[in-house]
Amino acid sequence: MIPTAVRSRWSRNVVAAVGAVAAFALSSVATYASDSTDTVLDALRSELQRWQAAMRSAERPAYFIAYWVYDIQSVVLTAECGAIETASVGRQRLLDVSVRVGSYQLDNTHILRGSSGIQFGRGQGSVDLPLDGDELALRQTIWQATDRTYKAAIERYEKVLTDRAVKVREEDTSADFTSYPPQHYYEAPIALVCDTSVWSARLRQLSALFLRSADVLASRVHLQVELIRKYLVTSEGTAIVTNEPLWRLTIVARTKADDGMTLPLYRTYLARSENGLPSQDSLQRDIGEVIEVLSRLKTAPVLESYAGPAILSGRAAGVFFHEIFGHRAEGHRNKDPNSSQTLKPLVGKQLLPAFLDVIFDPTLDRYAGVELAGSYRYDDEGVPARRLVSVEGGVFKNFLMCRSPVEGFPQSNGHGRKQAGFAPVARQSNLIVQARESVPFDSLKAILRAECRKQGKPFGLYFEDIAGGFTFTSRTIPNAFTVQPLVVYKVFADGSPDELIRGVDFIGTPLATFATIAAASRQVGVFNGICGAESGSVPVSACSPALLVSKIEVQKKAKSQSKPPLLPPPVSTVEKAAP
Amino acid sequence: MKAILGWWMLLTGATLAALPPWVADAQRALRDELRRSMDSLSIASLEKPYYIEYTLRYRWLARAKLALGGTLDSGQTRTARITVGVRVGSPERDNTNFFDAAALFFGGDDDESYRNRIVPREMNYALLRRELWLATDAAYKAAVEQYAKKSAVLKNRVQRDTTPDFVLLPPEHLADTLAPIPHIDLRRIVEQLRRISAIAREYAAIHNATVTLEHLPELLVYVNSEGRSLVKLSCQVGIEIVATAQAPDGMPIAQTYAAYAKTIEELPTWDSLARAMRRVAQRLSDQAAAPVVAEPYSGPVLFRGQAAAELFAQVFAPNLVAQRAQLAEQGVQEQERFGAFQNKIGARVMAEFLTVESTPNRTAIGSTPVAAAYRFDDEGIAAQPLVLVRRGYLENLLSSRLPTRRVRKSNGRCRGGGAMYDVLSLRSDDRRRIANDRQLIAQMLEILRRRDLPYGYIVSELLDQNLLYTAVYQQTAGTFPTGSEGQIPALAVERIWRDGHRERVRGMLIAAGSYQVFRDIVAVGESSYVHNLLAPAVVSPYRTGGSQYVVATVAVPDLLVEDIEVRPIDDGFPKPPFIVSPIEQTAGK
Repeated sequence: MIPTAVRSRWSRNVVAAVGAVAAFALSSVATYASDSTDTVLDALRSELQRWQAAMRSAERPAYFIAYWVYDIQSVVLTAECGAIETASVGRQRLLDVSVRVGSYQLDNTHILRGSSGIQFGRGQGSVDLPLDGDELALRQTIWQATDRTYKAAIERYEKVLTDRAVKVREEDTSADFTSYPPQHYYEAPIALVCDTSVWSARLRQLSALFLRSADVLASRVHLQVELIRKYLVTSEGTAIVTNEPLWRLTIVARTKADDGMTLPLYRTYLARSENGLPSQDSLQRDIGEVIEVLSRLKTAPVLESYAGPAILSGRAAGVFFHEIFGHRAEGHRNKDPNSSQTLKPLVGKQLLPAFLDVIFDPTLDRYAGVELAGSYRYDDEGVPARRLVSVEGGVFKNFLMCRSPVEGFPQSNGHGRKQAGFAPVARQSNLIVQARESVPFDSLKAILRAECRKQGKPFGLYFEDIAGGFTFTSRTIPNAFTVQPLVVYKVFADGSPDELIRGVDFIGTPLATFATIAAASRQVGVFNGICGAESGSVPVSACSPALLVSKIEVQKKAKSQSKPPLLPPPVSTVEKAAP
Repeated sequence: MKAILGWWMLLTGATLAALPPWVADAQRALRDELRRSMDSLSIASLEKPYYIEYTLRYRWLARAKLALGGTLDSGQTRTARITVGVRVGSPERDNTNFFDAAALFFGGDDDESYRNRIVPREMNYALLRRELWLATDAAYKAAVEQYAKKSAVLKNRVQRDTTPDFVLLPPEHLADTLAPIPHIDLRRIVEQLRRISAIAREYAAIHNATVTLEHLPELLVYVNSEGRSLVKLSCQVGIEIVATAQAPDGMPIAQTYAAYAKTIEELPTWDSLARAMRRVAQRLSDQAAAPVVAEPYSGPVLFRGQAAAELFAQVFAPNLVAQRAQLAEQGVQEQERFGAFQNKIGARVMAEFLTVESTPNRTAIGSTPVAAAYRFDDEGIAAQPLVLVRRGYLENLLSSRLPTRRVRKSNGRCRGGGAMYDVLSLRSDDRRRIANDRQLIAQMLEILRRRDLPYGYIVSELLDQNLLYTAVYQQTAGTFPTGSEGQIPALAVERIWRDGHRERVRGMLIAAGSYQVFRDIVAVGESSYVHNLLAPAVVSPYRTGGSQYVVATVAVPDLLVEDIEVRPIDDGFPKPPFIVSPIEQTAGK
C-alpha cells in the first residue's frame, strides 16, 4: 500500500485454504456482565498492570498502552467443478500491542515528514498467542511483545522529536491522540457452528453447475466462515470483549474472449449468521445468471473511449461512493503532508447536488432488507459506534474520525478501525447515500436517453456491476480514480434494446464527477464487501440508489495478450457436464 | 520390492492396494491428457512440444506448534497440486535453460498457472484432465515464447558451449509404494508436545520456547511423454525445538534441537524429546551466563558432532550439486552460489585423506535412520550410490536431468524441483588421521603451542539454516545476530586454553568462507554424527518452482580444522527487557 494512495479492493477473490473439516461448538449466550474466568482477559489485565507499574519509574514512560486480541475461528471451503478443492478448519489467536510514549499532544506515532514508507496504520505486526487457557504462557508472550513495542516506541519518539526540530511548522498542529472515557463491555463466548458436510455438499452442487458451460474456463465457489472474538484492554481502563461472526460466500467465474480479454464475474454474499446467506435455489439462480452473462460477455463488442452520460446501478454507485468519496472523508489523511486533502477546504461547502445526503452508520444492522457488513458496537479504539452525517443536502459536514484528531475535528466519532496486525485509522463502516428526490429506475433510464439526445450522443452507458476500483490521494500523483466495471450496457438514445459491451474502465477526478450527478432512482442497491487500506481489511457496506451522471469518461481496459486455450476441453469433461 | 515394474503391474498389482482408489484414475487422466497434448497441441507455424511431463503431488500434512505449554497451532490439511513441464524445439536446443527476467518477476501473460497449480483434493478423472488441459495450454504458450526469445538471443551470439538442453531416455515404469499411507493421532501428539514444551517454564532465563512437529506423507504420480512413469509414496516427519532469550547484556541467544525421520516411529521417543527440551533449556540458561567472545580469532577449531555435520552441510555439500549457467538476454548468467565445483572434477577440493560418498538408498547409518533415503528421484530416475570425492579429489557431481558441461546424464538426484544433495558420508581413508576425542584435543593443543596461541575453540553446535530463518529469526523479532554472508552462528562453544582448561563462551560467528576450509582438516574423529536436516535447496526454488528446503542426511566425524576464522558478535543488539518476564517473576516467588 502506497501511503497516500488508497486502493480499496472489495475482496472477492477466492482464498485458497486447505485442511480437514469439523464443526466448532462453544457456549452461546451474550451478556453484559464481566466474566472473571476469561483467562485471556485476565492475562491482558495482569500484564497491563505490571507495565503500568513499571512506567512510574521509567525514564521515558509510556502514557498509553493498549492490547488487542483477535481470537479467530474459521472454516474455509472451496469447491471447483463439483469437487472440494480445499477445506480447512482453523483457529488462531493474535495479539497486537500499542505503546505510546510522549504525550497526547506529541507522541511516537506522530508522522515523520520526509520519511518514506507506510506511516498511518503501521503496526508491529501480530504475535501468535497460545490458544489454550494457560495464563502463564499467555502472559509470557504478552510481556515479550510489550517489551519490544515499548522499545520501538522510545526509538521512534526520539526520531519524532528530531524531525520536529529540523522541519518547518506543520500545517495541522492538532494532537496525536485524544483521551476517551473508559468503556466496559463483555460478551460471553458464542459458538461457531458450521456443518461442513452439509456445506461441502452444497458447494459441490453449486460449483458443478459451471460444468454446463463450455465458455467458463475457471470457477470457484468459496465459503469462509469466521468468528472473531475481539479483546481490547487499555491503560485508560477500557475493557471490551465482543464476538464478530461473518459468513462470506463467494462465486467467481471467468471466461476469455477471442481477443484474449479475461472476463471475470463475481457474486459475494456476506452475513452475520448462516441464515443470512441466500438459499441454495437462489444461489443456483445466481450461478445460472453468471454463466449466461459470461457467455454473452465473451462475444460482446469492445467499447472504445467514450465520454457522455451514464447510470451507475445502486450497487455500483455504492462502490463508487465508497472509493471516490469515502476514502477522502477518512479524517486522518488531513494530517498527512503528502495527502492532497481534497475535502479539507470543502467543509461546510456544497460538494454534491443538494438532493443527496451521505451517512456512515455502523449502528445499522440492515438496510433495504439486506444485512450490512460494516456494523459494530465499538470501534477498534474502544469508542462506541455512532451514526455520522457526512454530507447533508449536498454540503460536506464531517470527516470520519478515529482518536487521532485533525484540525476542526478534535474527537473520534467511532470510526477507528483495524485488522489484526495494523494500527487503527479512520475507516468507513456502512456508507449510505440517500436521495431526497428520486424517480423509478425506468424513469432514470428515460432521463439518460434524454440526456444523450441533449448531448448529441447516440448512447449512454449503464454500469450494472463493478468489481471495485482505486483512487490516489497523494499530492504527487494526479488525484484521479479508476472504477473497474464488470457488466456495462449501452443504452441507446433512440430506445433500441440495450447492448452488453466490454473492455472499459470508468475514470475521472472526484470533484468534477460529483458535480455531474444529476438524478437518483428510488430503488436502493446494497454492496457488502471487505475494504483494504492502511489499517488492513475491514468489512464494510455501501448502499445507494442508482445514480445518473451527466458526464463520465471511460478508457480501454488493460488486457491479456494470451489466446484462449488452443485445444477444446477434454471430451470427458463435456460428457460429465452434460445435463 | 523390485524397483522396476511393468505398467500392467502398476495397475493390477499389489502396489496399488495400499494407495487410495483414485490413484489409478489419476494415472489414467495424466496419461490421456499427455497423449492428447502431444498429438494435438500446436500453434500454426510454431514448434510443437517434443516433450511433456506431468507431476501430481498429493499431500497429507499434520502440524502442531506449541510454546511454553500452550498450543499456537495444530491442524491437518490435504492438498493436491500439479506441475506441468513442456519443451519445444529439440533436445539439443529447447526453451529451457533461459533466464527470462520479465516472466520471473512479472509473471506470464496467462491467467492459468502451470507450476504448483492447486487442483481439487477430491480427485476424479474428468476434473484432473480439465486442470491438466488448462495448465498444459499455459505451459505450452510460455514455452514457445521462451523458445522464440532464446532463439533470438542465440542468433546474435557465438555459443561455444555445446551442452544439450536435454537428453531423452527410454521408457521405464517405476513404483515405490508398498507402505500404506501413514496417519497419526494428532490429538495425542499435541498432548505430548504440550508436556515437552511446558518444561521450558522451569527455566527462568527463557523468553520463549517452541516445539513444532510436522508430519507430511506425499504421494507423487509422474508421467512424461517418453513413456516414463513413477508412483512414489514418501513421508517426512520432523520435530524442532527452539528456545530463545536475551543474555544480561541484551545479546539475543538461542538453542535448538531438531530431529527428522521418515516415520513418527523413527523419531526419538517422547521421553527422549523431553530430555532434549531440558538440555536445550539448560544450555540456553548456561549460555546467558557465559562470557562473550570479545576478539577475532584465527587458528585451530575442533568441530564436534552436530557442528561438524552442519559445517559440512552448509559449506561443502551444496557445491557437490551439478548446476548450469543459464542463458539470458544479457548473456550467460554464471551460477555463483555453490558453483565452485562445476569445473573442478579431477581437482583437489579437500584434504587428501578424505572421501565423500553419496548413498541415497541407505536407510540407516549405524543405528540412526536416514531421513533422506529414497530409491527413485522426482523425475523417475533410480538413484545409485556414487563416490563424489575420493581421497580429496572431486570425481563426480550430483545431477538431475538438466545436462551440464561435465555431467550430461542424471544420476537420480532431482528432489524438490532440482538437483539436491541427499545422503552424504564423509570419512577418512587414512587410519593415521583418525583420532579419538582425547587425541583430537591433544593435537589441537599442539597446534596452539606451535602457533603460540593462548587458546582455541571447540564448537559442538552450529545454527541450522532452516531453524534460523523459520524459527529463531521470528522468535527474536529479527534481532538474532546472524553475521554476514558465509558466517555461521555457533550455539555451543568452549574456549580451550593451552593448559587444557575450558570455559563455555557465547557470541561467536564461524567465518567458514568457502569449501577451502575442508582442505585444512588435519584429523577426524572415530565415529560419525548422523545429521538429518532440512537443507536449503541448492538450485533456487525461484528457478525450479520447487521446495525451499529439502531433507538431507550427512554423516560426518568430528573435524579438527587447522585454521579457521572466528568473529565476535559485535553488532549492537536490543537492551535487556525492561521488566522481568512472568516466568522469571513466578520462579522468584
